[in-house]
Amino acid sequence: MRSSRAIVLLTISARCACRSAAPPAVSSPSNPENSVAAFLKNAERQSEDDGQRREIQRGLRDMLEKSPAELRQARYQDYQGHENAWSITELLKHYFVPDPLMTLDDQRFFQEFREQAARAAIQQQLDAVDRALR
Amino acid sequence: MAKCALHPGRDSAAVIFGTNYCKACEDGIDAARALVDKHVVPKECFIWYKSNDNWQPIGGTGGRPGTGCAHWVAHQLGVHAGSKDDKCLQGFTYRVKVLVGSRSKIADISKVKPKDIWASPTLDHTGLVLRVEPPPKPGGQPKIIIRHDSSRQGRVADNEFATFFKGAGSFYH
Repeated sequence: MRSSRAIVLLTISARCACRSAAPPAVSSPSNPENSVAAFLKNAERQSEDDGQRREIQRGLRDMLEKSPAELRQARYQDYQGHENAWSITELLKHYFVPDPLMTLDDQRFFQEFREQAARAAIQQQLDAVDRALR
Repeated sequence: MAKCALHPGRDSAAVIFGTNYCKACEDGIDAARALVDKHVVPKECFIWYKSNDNWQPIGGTGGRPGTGCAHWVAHQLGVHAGSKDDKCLQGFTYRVKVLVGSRSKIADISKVKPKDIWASPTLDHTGLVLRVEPPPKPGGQPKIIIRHDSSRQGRVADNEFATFFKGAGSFYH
């Protein structure tokens, strides 16, 4: 009897130990973190002058206002102010340094940029660039 | 035989910034370096290892690199502040906030000297004080020339604080 209790206790403690030592949960493929929110929420914007900031402002506003089809067609100035040089994802990749470093997948971007988590992160960056332009 | 720092099962093929890398990493590093934007100085270390033999320019994907202003200043001053995720392959800081966070703000502009850091009011751009000239009139503002890695101008450029930068921003020792 004592030995069977001991086996049960050992089994329970071993299970607990395995659970506590398990790695932290990661997003499953069926429920990943919104990629746009992840890219933007802690990202540092690096922009040199008001011309660049206005172009970033335009891009972020478009992300809040345009449909995926419209946003795919939108083009923005590059660093030097050349018109129609960059897509929206190119604009973001050039001016924002995500934290932690990560990539922005174009296909996922257009599927996810209108989700609530993305819109919150976009609005946060838009508020910051609005303040920089005041 | 030395092994790759990222892939311990593979033999080292190259030592880059003091670290051993396998042939796949060496090739990936070379490919990522070629994608770093033209204004970024230096280019060789402005890359990162994403995963699965995939090296990328910092801040971008698919050959679209990001920024370089803080990275250039950090190389000039030897700033290694921040975590691994704040630093280039050679260990220099590339985020403005981390860079200036490692220094003390200068309250009095008359105390600014060459090699002090300048940063924009919202900490989205930074440069290095190259030269300080005395004010033309007693009691006036000194003329401060800032050297910075300029994405707008596509190069490391020298510009005046009062005009190009509209006299805005802060300085850090």
